[in-house]
Amino acid sequence: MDSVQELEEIRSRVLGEKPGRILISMGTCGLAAGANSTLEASRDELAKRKLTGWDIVQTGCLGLCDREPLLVVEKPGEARVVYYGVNDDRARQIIANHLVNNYIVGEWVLPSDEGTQTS
Amino acid sequence: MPQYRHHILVCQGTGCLSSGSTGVLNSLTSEVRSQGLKQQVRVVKSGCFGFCMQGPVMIVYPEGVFYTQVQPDDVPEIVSSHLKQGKVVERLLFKDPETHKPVQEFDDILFFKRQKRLVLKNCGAINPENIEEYIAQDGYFALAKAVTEMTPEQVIEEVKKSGLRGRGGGGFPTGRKWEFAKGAEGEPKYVICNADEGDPGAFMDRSILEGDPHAVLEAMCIAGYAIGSHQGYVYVRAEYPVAVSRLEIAISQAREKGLLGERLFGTDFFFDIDIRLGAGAFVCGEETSLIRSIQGLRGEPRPRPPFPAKEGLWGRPTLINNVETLANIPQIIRHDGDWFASIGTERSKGTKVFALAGKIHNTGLIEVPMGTSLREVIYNLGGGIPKGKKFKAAQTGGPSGGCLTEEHLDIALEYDSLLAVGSMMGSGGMIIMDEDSCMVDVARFYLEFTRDESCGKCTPCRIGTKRMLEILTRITEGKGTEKDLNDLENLAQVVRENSLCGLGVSAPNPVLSTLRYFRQEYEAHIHDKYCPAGVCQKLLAYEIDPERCKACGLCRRECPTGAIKGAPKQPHHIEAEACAKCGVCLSKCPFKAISRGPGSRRPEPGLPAEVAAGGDEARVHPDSGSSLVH
Repeated sequence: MDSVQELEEIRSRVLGEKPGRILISMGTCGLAAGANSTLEASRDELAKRKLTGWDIVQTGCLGLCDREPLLVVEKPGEARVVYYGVNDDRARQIIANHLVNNYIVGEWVLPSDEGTQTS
Repeated sequence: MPQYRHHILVCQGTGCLSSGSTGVLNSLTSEVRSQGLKQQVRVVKSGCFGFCMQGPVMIVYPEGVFYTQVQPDDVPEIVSSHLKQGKVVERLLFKDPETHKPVQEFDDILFFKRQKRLVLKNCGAINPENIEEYIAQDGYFALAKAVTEMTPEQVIEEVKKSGLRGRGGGGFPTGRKWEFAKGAEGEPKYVICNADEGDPGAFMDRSILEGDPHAVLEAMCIAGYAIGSHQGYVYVRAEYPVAVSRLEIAISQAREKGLLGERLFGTDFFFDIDIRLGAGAFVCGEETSLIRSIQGLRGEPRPRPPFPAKEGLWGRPTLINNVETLANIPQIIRHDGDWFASIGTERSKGTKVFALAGKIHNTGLIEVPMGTSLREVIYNLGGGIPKGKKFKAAQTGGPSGGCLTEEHLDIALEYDSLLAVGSMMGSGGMIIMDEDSCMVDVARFYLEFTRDESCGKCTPCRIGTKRMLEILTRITEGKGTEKDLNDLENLAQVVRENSLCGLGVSAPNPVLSTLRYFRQEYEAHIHDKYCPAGVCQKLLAYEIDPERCKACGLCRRECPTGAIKGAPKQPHHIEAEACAKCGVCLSKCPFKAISRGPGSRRPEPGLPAEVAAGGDEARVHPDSGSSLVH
């Protein structure tokens, strides 16, 4: 690479507009909890519903290894939502409900006070 | 048969009919025809969806979009926007009054909100197998800044200013290490990333390599530029297959993009990185052993000095940094040293990643500023102890560290304060123990680990750890004596003072710190043959509940030592002296009449009652050893 400009071009290209992204935590903990089948199901469901613009990003561990597999839905301009314990069935339902119908499946959303306790 | 692009199901159930779905259906059919989509869209009348209160409803396939409260006036928009342009008509989607609005946004989740994620910034946020995602998060801009705008001296100056200290356990100032390596004479020089994470319960290095490998590669390049090296090695254990494969992908992508290799950013600087796999020996996390292992030799330490910065890999000056240490570097360069130094405490700067394991609600990884209290980590981030149990101790620093007890809950987690109470930061593994954990057993577990992992080169460590383990095992089996405690303490001192490397020097720490804070538990094992937590197998007592016992005789027949006595129609009982604690009776009893517990204190003959007692009275069994209950 010859210059910083090249880096800048890549950065702005990657950050460009998209309908949204699904992030699946696929560290060792996620894989052990079955993130691979979550990924497969998500891909399959997106294809089945012809949701072509969506990216599935395989990420590393978010730190909440206890609640894996974790799946994050990002829609531009909307709240980032973290789902926990996402098996393949949940993944399909999240795609149908959240991505397609904008209906957030509250039952599987990580509560905001998750992992906290007042001593 | 025509291939339809969309199927639309319009509910014609009674509920929707009464809210006007006939009008919607008619309007849809005519709109599809008039907009010329008759060949592509099929409108279907369907039965009830069961969502009558939101009617009229319709569902559009293949996507599965579910529109509610659709009026005939909405239909043209659905056809022109959704069916023609693929744009969902958002306003007609169902809104759940409960879950939809104040949703638990990622950044509002307290688990994340209470952290300060610098090192873990990208973990879980980018695809580690795609270098462009790392670049989009300002990746490799620090390297660009370093090689094009800064001199090596300035880079080292920023790292020194940041106050960053080694995250692998020792806490040596990183900037000074870099300075030594730069000042050392000899060519070529090497940069090594120590990813031989071996503490039981610690997995932050693995997570960083798996989730953000480029941060480590970028940091190694910067380090290479600063000290004048052109070759780096990542020494990673083969037991981390996911980390290894993501590192391999990362290195090849960086080479492809020209971020590793010749003429980086149009300068004369060049740098490349290779992976060296370790077989997972704990001692290879020690830098001199690690270097020997890379050279293809047996992983054994050698005396220092000379330090690797002077004589390292193949006798050349070598800089060794831990994964987490390196992962801090790009951000320090991108911002500056002062920014980093503004986080943390006076002598421990920045953040620390802790791996929470054991008896804690959220096993996982968290990152907090240095100086955060143990209480905050365990209760506010870790979610406290499951099942309402009581916190007993936290082991920090793995087998090289010590335990923190309830009285230390408000201690600030930083290098020096932990050393002061007999523990250490270590790599950041934190194993939480509750009231059901036996501290003697914990010490025995860690000693077993260091005994197994001792390389055997020096005698104090090889034999000392073995003898200490023997004593501890004896105590947990109820065969310990008062002399054992003294021997244990003496031996611990000898091993600590005379071992060759950090493994042996720190191996006695778990024993010394549990002895310091939980001596009464050791004494209960020795004097009373009693394990207060009910963990040590050989000290457990089996009892038959006479209320539940149906005198079936099954346990009596199965007991290999004939310790169970009883007659037909009479509740059976176990004779403690004959019982071998094998647990067969427990597994055989069909009525769940047999229980296992810590049993009662059994004093050594001739020992005064006051000495033998002490500790948890509530656990003293009511009908035996009654003389001990004061």
